[in-house]
Amino acid sequence: MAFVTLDNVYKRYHMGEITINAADGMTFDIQKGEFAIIVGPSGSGKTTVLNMLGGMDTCDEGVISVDGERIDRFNRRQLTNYRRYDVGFIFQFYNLMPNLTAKENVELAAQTTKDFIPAAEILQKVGLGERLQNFPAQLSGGEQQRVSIARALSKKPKLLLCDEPTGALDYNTGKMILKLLQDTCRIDGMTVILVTHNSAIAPMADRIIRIKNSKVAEIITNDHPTPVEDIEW
Amino acid sequence: MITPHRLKISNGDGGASLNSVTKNIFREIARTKNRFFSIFTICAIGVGFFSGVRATGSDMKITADNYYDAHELFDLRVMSTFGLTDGDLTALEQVDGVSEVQGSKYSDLVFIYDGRDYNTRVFSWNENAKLNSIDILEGRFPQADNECILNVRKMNGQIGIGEKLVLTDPSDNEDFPLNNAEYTVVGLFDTPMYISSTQRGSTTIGDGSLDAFAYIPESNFTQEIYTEAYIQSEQLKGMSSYSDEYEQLRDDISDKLEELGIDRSEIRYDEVIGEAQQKIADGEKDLEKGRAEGQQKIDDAKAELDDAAKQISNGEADLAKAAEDIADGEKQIAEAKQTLADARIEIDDGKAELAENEQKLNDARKQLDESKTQLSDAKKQLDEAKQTLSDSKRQLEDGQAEIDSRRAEIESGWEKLSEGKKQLEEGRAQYESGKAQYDENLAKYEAGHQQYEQGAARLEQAALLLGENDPQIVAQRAVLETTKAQLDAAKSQLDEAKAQLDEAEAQLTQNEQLIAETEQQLTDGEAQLSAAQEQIDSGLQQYNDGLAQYNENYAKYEDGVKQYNDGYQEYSDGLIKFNDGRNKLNDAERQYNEGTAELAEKEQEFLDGKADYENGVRELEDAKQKYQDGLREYQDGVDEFNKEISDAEKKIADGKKEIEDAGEAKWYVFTRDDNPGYAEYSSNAERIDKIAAIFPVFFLLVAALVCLTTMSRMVEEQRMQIGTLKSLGYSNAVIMRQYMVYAVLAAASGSLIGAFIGMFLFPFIIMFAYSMMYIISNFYYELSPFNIVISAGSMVAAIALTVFFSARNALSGTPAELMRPKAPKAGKRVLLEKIGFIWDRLSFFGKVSGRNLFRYKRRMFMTVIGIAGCTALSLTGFGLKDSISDIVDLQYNSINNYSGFIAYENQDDVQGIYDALLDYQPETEYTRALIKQYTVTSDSGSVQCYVTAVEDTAKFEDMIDLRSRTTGEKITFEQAGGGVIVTEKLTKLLGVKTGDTVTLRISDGNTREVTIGAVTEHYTSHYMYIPEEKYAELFGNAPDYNIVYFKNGMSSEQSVQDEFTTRMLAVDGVLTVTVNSGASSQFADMLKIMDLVVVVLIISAGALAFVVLYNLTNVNITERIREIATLKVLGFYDNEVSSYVFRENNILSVMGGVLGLGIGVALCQFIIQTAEIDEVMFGRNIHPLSFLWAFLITVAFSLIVNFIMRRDLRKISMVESLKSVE
Repeated sequence: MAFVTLDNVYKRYHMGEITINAADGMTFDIQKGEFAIIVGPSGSGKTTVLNMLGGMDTCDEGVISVDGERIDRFNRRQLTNYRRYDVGFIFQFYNLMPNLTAKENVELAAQTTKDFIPAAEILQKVGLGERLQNFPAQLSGGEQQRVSIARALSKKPKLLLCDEPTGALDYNTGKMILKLLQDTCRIDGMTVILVTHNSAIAPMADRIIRIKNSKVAEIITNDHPTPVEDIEW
Repeated sequence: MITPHRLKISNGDGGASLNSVTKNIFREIARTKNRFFSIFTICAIGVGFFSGVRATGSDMKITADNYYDAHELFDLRVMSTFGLTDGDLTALEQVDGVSEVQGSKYSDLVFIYDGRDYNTRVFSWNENAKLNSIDILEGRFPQADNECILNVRKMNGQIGIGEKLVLTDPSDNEDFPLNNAEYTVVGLFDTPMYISSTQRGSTTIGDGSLDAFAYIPESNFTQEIYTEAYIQSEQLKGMSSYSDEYEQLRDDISDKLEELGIDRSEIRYDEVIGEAQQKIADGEKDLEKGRAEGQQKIDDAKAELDDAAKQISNGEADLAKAAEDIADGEKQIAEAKQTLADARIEIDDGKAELAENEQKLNDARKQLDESKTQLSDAKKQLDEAKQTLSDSKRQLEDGQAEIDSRRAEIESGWEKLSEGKKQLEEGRAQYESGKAQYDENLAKYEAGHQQYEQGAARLEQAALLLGENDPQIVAQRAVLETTKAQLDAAKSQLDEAKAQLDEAEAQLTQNEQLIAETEQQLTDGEAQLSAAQEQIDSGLQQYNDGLAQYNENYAKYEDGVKQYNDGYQEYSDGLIKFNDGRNKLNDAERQYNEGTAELAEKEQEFLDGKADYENGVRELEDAKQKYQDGLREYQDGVDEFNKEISDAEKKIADGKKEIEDAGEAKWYVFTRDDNPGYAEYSSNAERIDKIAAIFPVFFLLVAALVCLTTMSRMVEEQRMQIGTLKSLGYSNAVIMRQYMVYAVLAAASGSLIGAFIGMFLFPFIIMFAYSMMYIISNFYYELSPFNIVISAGSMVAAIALTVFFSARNALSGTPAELMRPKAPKAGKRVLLEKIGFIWDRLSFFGKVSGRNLFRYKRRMFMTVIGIAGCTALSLTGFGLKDSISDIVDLQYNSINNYSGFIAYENQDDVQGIYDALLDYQPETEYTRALIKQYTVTSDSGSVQCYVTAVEDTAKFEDMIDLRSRTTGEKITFEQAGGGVIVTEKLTKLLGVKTGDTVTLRISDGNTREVTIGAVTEHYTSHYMYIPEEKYAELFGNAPDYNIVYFKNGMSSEQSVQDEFTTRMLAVDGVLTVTVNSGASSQFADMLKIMDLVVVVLIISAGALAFVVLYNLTNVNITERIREIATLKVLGFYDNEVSSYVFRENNILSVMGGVLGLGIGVALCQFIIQTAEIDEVMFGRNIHPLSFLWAFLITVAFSLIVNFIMRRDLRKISMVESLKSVE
């Protein structure tokens, strides 16, 4: 069985009399240690998928399982625990605590778990060894995103979920971040799922899942992923 | 959501676009109901409180004014030292501005109910009276002359309708001012002249303060003139009672009345003095007449008494003579008694002698009889002896004869014996011969036998040898046989001869024995005979001797007979003599008895005489007594006469002096301010105004600040929208108008509703509280537009300004800037981080919270101020309650050390009271004091104060703890030096301190300067303690004590105190018994008011805390919604998320609470000092427990808000929050 499985998953939003299907019978698998990219245009439902996978949202129908656990059946508390111990998040706008330094932001996540990588060490790893005591406002976007990645990795998640991690970054910085994520997958064997509207970066993934109109349009298994350095957009 | 594409572009001309903008506003309101409503609420609370409390003071005054107008309360009151006549009233009516004049009479009297004195002002009741209309609370107005209506506020429940009151006049007026002293209560009433439930005004009687008012029908008053006149002015009625214009006009009219008074007094003086002088002249005439008549009567009585005295002395002489006679008689009787007694002794002696003689005679007689018997016995003996002698002689003769005969017999015996001896000797010889023959034969036989034996033995031998049958032997044997037979025959013969010989031998022996016996007998007979002969001879001798003795005895006998005859003669002579003596003695006894009887008769006669004498003496005594009585009566009569005369003279002199002393007739004009409670009510209202100036402003300020935070956050949140609108070409004014309308709508509607509610609610609560102390009812609520404008307007304006500044700030940016999300406030290090030793110790989240607190400084200050307000209000509520309960605690349990005090009337009774106290409890301590109410004034005011003259300062200091409140040190009279000790509140009201001088008004126009020697802690009423000597110095006379303070360690149990009170009231002269008990009704009422105040304050505080915290937390959450969502995404549990947010709230609550306690102390002090009434001093300390409660209440409110906000936190969606930037 695949590490991550979505089987015929539906998610509906009710806006007055209109019902919007944000996920309309999606089905796909992702293997452990894969770098998966979910790609699709704005509003196609890719973020919904990520939210459901991340335990931030629930599905209305279908099966979502991660590492053999049916997270679609989790209650509120189980979902919280799932987020707490199993998932690392990386957001487009970093979502760092503005009032905490880089190190403290990482520690904030580490507070929740017992088995964690010390903040200084992980920040060192993402290349921010010198900026431990800086507040987010004193960091550039790429640096902030790296703090965000460090925060996600510090608690040793099973799954790293990234929502447009480069969306707010310039080209070069974006590439560096993608490189960091790819290395994390390749070197540490982390399962990474990245959501983007940018098809150009898709070749770097082991598996590409195209979404259109809230449906899975295509699943491509890429046996020879392109290194980030070779990707242009 | 905004829909900018639907908005039409309109530059400046808002007309067409207004619809869309307005719609947007209403949508916004609907979308943010919570925010709108919280602005609404906070404005309502702030404005409600502000306007309500502001309105109260004026509402109270209007309510009172309405009450006065409705009850036609007089505006001015005129009294005259000479009373007022109808003429005076008519003159008053003429005065400009006066529209109604009403005369009234009253008198201060006392009735006793349930053992307690009630100083009562008794007014005349006239049903036509227009002014000062009375409210009948129960029952009806009086109709009959002996009916009254009563107002006893303190005891309303106790003296009910139907009770009979007996009025007495405690003053030294000689005439009772009423026709009737006994009245039945038919109704209970309130009068507008006395609106205070606690202050009743003062009087000149009793303890100086009034307890009750009564109305009785006017006809009961004996006096013609009026005591006072009430004056009303229509103009004044139209004005507000406590207003300046009222006071101005009133003073004008008052001046005119005083002017009129000068003329009228003169007229009245002449009238009254003239009348009095006539009366004195009449009196003098009557006196002279009375004096003459009385003197005559006295003289008559004197003559009568002298007669009686003479009669008495005559009687005395007669009695003296009689007394002499009685003494003589007594002596005679005594002598006679002595004679009789002597006779008696003699008789008794005679009787004794006689008895002795009789005894002697009887003894002699007995001896004689004994002698006679002896003599006859002797005779009989002599005769017997004679007989014996003759018998003996005869016997002796018989014996001689017998002896002679025997002798003959013996002679013949002897002859026969000798014959027998001869015969015997012959028998002997015969026997001898026979014996010899026999012996010879025997020898022959024995020889023959021996031969035979030899022959037999040889044969036997031969037989052995030869054999038996040998014929020789046989033959021999035959031979032997024959020999043998021969021998046996010889033998038999011999035996026969032998038997004969033995018989002869026996015969011979027997005969020999017989002869020997006979010989013996004869010899014996001879011996006997000689003995008998001897006996006879001696008997003969005896006989002769006896005969001689007999003869001798007989001679003696003859002598005895002779003696006896002589004794008998002597005895007969004695007997005769004895009988003579006895007869003589009997005669003497008879004479004695006769004498005794005679004496008894005489004695009786004497006693009768003596009794007569004693009667005479008694009669004389009676007569004397009567005389003395008469004399005394006479003297009394004379004294009475003299007294009456001197009384009359004195009265006349008094009258004359009175006329001299009457001095001027003078009018006094009083205003309503002299009515107890009237002015105080107004100052209470002003006090509320003062509170309104601080307290609600505080509320208003907090409300405005909270709104400011809320609104600026709203503007902040809507940057994007502002940017969009701006980019679409809307003018700043139009955009700003949106927020302005939103804010003003919320604030104005909240403020107006708050104002309307507040302007009813707060005046009601406060007036309701005061209605426990004043009878004024029918609360009036004025919805003053001015007040509304001020309170609501200032609130709305404040909020509008807030919106203006925050919106203008936002609008100053370019659309592009605005449409980009405003960078969250950058994090930065706070000061605290530099203090390593604190910062390092904080937990991770502690650091986060610490940094957050300082990051949002404005919110922090707002929260702290809001919470502090809440705590301060709560603490003020509790503190007020503490300060009032301290009055009871400190005054009754700590300062008043006495167990109680007893009021009495007469100094003569005081020992009885002491005894009763000691009887109840032998350990009781007690001391006297004089307590009376006087007015004390200084430059800054005047106060009714109880002047207390102290008999024994040391004991008094033990009864009442005199001490300084601030230092707690004891105060003694010694320390006070020459000055007096006064209570603390008095000095506050008069604005004086130790060493200052105050003026004591002892009576009208008579004042004394008194220096304050010390100030003592005291909470209820005002006292001035003066040592005895100092009192005498001030008042010119020693204090006439009227109170006994006592201390007996009595239990505070109601039953014990009741029993004690009842017992003491039974003691003569006791007027009232007051036990020191904290359960005083006045303070119980006040504590009830305070409970209400505390509740109001706590509710207000709670509302404030709630709104502030709710708003600010709300702002906090919306501001940091991304942070919160991120925390959730990071897998924080709900409670971790909550505590991340609320830890800050909690820290702020504690900070606010601590700050609030400080503010509360100040606020409480302020409120206490403004709210305090004149009569009492509130405690100045807030109890530690109150601090705790105020703090806990604050914490509780903050926890409630946290609890409510948790729900909101839970509802925050991670997805929505995170994508909001898209």
